[in-house]
Amino acid sequence: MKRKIKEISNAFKTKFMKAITTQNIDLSYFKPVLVTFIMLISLGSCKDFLTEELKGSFSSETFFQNDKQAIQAVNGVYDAIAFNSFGNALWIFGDVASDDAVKGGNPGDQSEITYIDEFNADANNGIISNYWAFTYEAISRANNVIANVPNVPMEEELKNRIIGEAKFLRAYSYFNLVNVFGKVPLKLLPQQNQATIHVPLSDISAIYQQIEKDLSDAAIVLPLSYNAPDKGRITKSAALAMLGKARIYQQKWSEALSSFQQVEALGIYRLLTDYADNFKIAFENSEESIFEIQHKTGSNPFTGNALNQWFAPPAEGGYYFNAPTQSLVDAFERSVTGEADPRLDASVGRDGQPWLNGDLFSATWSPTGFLTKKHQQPLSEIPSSLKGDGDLNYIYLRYADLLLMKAEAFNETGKADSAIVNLNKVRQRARNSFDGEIPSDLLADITTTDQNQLRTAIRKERRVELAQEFHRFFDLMRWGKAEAEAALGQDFDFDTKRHFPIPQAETDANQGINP
Amino acid sequence: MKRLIFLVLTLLTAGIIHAQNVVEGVITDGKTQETLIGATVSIKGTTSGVITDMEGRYRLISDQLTATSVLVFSYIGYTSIEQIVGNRSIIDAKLMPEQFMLDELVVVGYGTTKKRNVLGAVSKVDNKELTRIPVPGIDQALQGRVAGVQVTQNTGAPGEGVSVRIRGAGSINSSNNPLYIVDGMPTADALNLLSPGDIENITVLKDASASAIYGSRANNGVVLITTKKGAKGKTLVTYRGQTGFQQATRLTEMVNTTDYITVYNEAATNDNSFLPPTLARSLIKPEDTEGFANVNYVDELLRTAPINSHEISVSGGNETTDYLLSTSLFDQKGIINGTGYTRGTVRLDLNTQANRWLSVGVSMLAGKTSRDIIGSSGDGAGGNGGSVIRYAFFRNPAIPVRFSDGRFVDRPAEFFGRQIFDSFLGDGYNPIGMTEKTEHTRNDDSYLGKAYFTAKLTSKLKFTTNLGLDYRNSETRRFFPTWGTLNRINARNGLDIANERIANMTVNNLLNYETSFGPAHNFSAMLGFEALKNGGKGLYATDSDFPIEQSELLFIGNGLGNKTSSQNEYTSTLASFFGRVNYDFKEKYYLSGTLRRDGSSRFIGDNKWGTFYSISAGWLLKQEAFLKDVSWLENLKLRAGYGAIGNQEIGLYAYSDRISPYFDYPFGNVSNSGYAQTALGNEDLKWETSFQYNAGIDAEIWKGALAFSVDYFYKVTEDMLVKAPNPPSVGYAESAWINSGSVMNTGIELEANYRHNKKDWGYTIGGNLTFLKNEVLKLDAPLFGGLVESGIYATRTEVGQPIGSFYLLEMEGIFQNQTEILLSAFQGNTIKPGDVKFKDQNGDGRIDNLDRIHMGSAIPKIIGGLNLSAYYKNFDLNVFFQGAYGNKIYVQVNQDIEGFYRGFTVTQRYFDERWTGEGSSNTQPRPSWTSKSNNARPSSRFLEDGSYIRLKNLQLGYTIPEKILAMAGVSKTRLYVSGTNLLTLTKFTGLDPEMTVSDNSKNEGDRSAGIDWGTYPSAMTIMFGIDITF
Repeated sequence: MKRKIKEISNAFKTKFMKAITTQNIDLSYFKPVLVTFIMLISLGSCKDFLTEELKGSFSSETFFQNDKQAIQAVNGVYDAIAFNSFGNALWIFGDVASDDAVKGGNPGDQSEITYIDEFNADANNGIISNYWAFTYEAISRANNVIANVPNVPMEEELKNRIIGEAKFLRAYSYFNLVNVFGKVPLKLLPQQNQATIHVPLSDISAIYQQIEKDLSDAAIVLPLSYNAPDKGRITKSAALAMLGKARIYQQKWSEALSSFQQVEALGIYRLLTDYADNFKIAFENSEESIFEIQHKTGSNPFTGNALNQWFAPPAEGGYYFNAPTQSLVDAFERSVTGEADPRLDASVGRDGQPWLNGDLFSATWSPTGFLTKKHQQPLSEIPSSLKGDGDLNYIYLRYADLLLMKAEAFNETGKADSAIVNLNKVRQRARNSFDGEIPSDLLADITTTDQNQLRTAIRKERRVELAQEFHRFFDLMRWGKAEAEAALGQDFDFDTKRHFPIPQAETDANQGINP
Repeated sequence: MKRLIFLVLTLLTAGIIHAQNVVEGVITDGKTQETLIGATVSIKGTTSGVITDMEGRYRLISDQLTATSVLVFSYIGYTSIEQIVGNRSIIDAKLMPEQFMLDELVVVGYGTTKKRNVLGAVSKVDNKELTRIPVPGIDQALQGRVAGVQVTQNTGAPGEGVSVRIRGAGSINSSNNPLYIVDGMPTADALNLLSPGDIENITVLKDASASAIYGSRANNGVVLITTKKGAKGKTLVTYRGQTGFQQATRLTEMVNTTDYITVYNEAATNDNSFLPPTLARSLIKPEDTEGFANVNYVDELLRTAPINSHEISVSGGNETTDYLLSTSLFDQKGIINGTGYTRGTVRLDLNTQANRWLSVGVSMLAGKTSRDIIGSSGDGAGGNGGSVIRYAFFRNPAIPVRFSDGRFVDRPAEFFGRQIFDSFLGDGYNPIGMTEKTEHTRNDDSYLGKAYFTAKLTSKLKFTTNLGLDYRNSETRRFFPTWGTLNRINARNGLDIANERIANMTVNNLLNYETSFGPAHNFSAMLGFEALKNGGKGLYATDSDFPIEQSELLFIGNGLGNKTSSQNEYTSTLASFFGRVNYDFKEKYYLSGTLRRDGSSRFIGDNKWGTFYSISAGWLLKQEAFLKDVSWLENLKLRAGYGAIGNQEIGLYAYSDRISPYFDYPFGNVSNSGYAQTALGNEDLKWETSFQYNAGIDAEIWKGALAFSVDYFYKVTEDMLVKAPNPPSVGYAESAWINSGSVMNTGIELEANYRHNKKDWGYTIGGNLTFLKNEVLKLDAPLFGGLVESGIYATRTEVGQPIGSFYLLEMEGIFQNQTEILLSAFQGNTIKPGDVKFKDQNGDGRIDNLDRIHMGSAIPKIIGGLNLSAYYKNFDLNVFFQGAYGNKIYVQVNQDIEGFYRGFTVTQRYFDERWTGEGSSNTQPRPSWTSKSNNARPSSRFLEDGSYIRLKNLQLGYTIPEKILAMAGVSKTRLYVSGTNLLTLTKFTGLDPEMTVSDNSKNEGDRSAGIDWGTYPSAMTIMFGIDITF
């Protein structure tokens, strides 16, 4: 090829030189020019010229080569469940939609939340669409890990652990989805083509089946604990506890108990002495914490907790959302002398009571007169200029919750004695958290063995123990029509409002739902 | 002795000259040799002149006639010529018909052709029109000049781009910008480098038959730019200078402090009546108002800003070589403090006929531009920071701009010393502070070069090689200083640097053949090959926590905080073969066809190559025997064409998915690197193709005094390149591009021009009008655009509607009383009299998002321009109007300033029209914070008619008589004064009906056009200019 070009160009050159010297062109010069022209064309048709590979970015073909990348991929899944973005609206569903809180904030700010609070939200509600996409993002990332990591050449134990972590996170995400929306598309494969993108709705039972399967798989491969640099990853006991929780939500009481017994058998968890410590930076990843979502301030990329700003009073540069209701405040027990359950002041800012910075809370900071005290840090830890970049983790599942779920399962299976033991452990710790001399009638042990009375007591206990931790609405829904309608009032019709509408954009675009 | 003879001869000659005061002759058409009746002969620089008689004869007798006099021969539709009298007494003149009629050359794809031969929809704009308006960019100068071309500014910020749409928007997602070709070389980035004075003319190729030769890139039309060249003859030195100032015109009026207090207290009273007393909002009491200022923040933000432009060019040439050297400087300060744009360029154009058969040439343009940027578009979502105009609307007039020590006031609570003042006056940013605290500059070094070699192989065959380079190096630097109450703004100061380099290379080889078979058959053909390689590289770095905010020390590396750096690189290639065949029979019947095959690196496998074509025909009726003798008809041509053209404007590597970093998560209290899939790919992606029909008529009558063209077009874009409308259950990953759906654009374009020239005076009226309809014909799922409120999009693009159709609730009025609320559809539990009432479109008895309906789009139904120019003796006047009709604008910013929707201030209009009791208003609701979720819902309340007519330019010029100038050696000088944006007639209440694209949703393309976030207002400009030619 090269030689031919040379020959032709030489021939062309001689003729060309002649042409220049004689200044006389005739048609015979046309030939070499045309040949050169054709040469240039054939040069262009070379395949290489038109092939450009992706530079500087990974694709799924070039990623997933070794253990480091497998770890990076699963870290990305964790990122998708954190409270570092507003998409994570778990608090809106868990608390604002419940009887514990209202939207709060400036009336005009985020008004779409109001529709959720009033059960007036339609399929185009922005909060709903955002949360849907947010949760599926975690599922997508988990699916990519679960599908691709098995092919990565790496140490088997680590590989299994990573897949186990991803399965837990997928199960956690589906658990939230099924409880907010009911039937949802069950996507388990990387969304690379029409078949894996357009997936129809699955029955609630099928989704729970997958959640249980993922959690069981995860529990087999996950380690009991991690070394310091990996602290915060999902453990075996977290998978078991989550499995128990998923079973509680299906009223599979004895199966749930068996999961919880496995957790207890590992003997890892205990209640912290002071209830309030659970929500302090110094007690992160404590012995009470089973599954904790991690945040860290001052990182780039951002890994902070945005709730620190969303819930804070205006004077600190906060947006004062998720404002607790009087009804929640009233749910806390008081002694005859009026001393409140110490968990009240650990959970809710009230007029004239000490606030996080040692200053006194003012009712004018909130449209309800209350603000949540959890998920927030004092200005000494995070100055108001960095308000949105909080350091505090969020504990999704703590040992007290597990004890209360155990109590509930025991009670529902007719084992009142065992139920009381677990319930009173929680009450005892609450009682002991009282600052000063404990009033004798405050948070006394529950003694009734009547199933109904005990049920009421356990439910009441869950409300105050887990107040403002984004569980209330989901508890109300699983307790059923009577409990839910009693708590949520006339706005709420259990049969039509138990689940929030699937986003319109999903119904429009998902050919699995709308063929 | 010699001297004496000389003196005598001189005197004698002088005597003869003095006696010489009669000249006569015949004026004929240089082409037909027919005599011209009524042609003018005048003595240059004087008022004396005569007109030819019925036989084309003239006889000019004048005392002013001397041997050095210059006679000017002119006739409508013919090029004037000048003759020095000398010692002649008989001077005959042959006038040639003016070029811009049939034999005028028009630039078409890869060549030029006579206007007579043009079969497609092609419009041309000359330099004279382009240089009138003081704009930095030539794309802006195109506004209103060409039928079918819509030009809208993104914002009024100096140096900000525009969007150009030729025959509507054919694509939903991908770019709708036309292809720009400068002197035959495609350029994406050098456009901002060309100064209007550098342009000889611009040709716009609108339909498939004209643009299909550009194949895959011509879907949105082609803009061909021809730069100025030197000409044979005397060296010409020209200077164009302009200086002037700009000022804001239309501004939204905000309330003053007194009115603000009134409406605040009214809102508080309204809301308090439904709240428990413990939660009641405090009123602003008279004693609180001590220290209240009364600042008009919008006025405070704006200034009168200078604008200057200088262009010098030297050109000339001889029989074989011509050259042009030019340099220009453009300097514009923005009407918002801290904004500005500067450009300096140098250009060289050199062409030479090396020998009998070889001509070569080179054209080089190098320049430097620099922009000072202040966020002025959207609410900050686009990364340039929120619009300071928006902040100025929000900022309460009662808050002073600065503390007595000169620091900017941020939160009112800090200034007034009590927390409650934040609720009284709102805590929006201080816009004046923003402009001074923003350091955002962008510097571009650009180079555009071209070289060509043309070998004339035979008298009929020509071979050309063109080589082009389009290069740009840009640096963007942004520093975010820490300031504000408790350092809340940029709590950690930070520095961003972006360095980007783009190089686009093009080579093409063209073979042109032209022949005639016998006297009747004319044939020409062109064959070509082209290869393009576009590449870019970027390097980005950030640093933060600088202990000292001193600009000499603000460099990457000097911060204490997190540092990041990243890099990118991309390349795309395109290879094409193409050809064109033209045939005509007796210059009467025309046929033309083009074929192009493009291969692109953006697609893979079998989809790399696409084939595009066009076929067109023309009939020059005037050449027919039955019209030949119709003297008033100069030209009549019918033409029609059909073709298929493509589009490949999608991101590079769209076939591949992407896995990206920055999804970190902390373990053990240390942040760990995380990766996630950020984009999906599609290996089956192929070209988007549009099929276009075009039919047109061109006519010129009364010897070309009146010329007009009418075009009808119908264009359907198929296999549209769109981002797959993925269900949100895919997560956040960017959807893959897919080929789906189709969009139709159809319309009629009219262009007309009438000239009337007399000896001393004349005028021209020119105009264009385009009727346009855009409709989506097919789409898998509706696409939303324009996020105007968390989770709420203003537009919904779906079948049967135009792209970016506004989809909103319809406001019916204001609830006047409780009964009306009870009788209307359920709208929520908190609705009170005075709140906005929406229409229950689906009749289900409740108002929700299902009651939204389509309400028009930002695409105008009609656009047009009207140009009037006139001259009288040495004075000339030009008036240019431009407008659009039938487009809608959603005024997002009113969601925040037309009621108490945030803790900010309100407009005067709201204050004047607000509901204060039954029957008081049916347009503006009662003041209330709690009713925001109802009253500020995105609805027709904020949708306005964007139709307008604007006096875009008015210019008055005076050409100094050459007699006076001759002494200074100057041949021509024109002085002028010019005003831009002097008058706008519109019902639109926002800042500017022209500006409709914001930073907020750049990647949504035309789906989010027509949303006003309170952007940089356009300026009225007054300029004084001078054109001098030596």
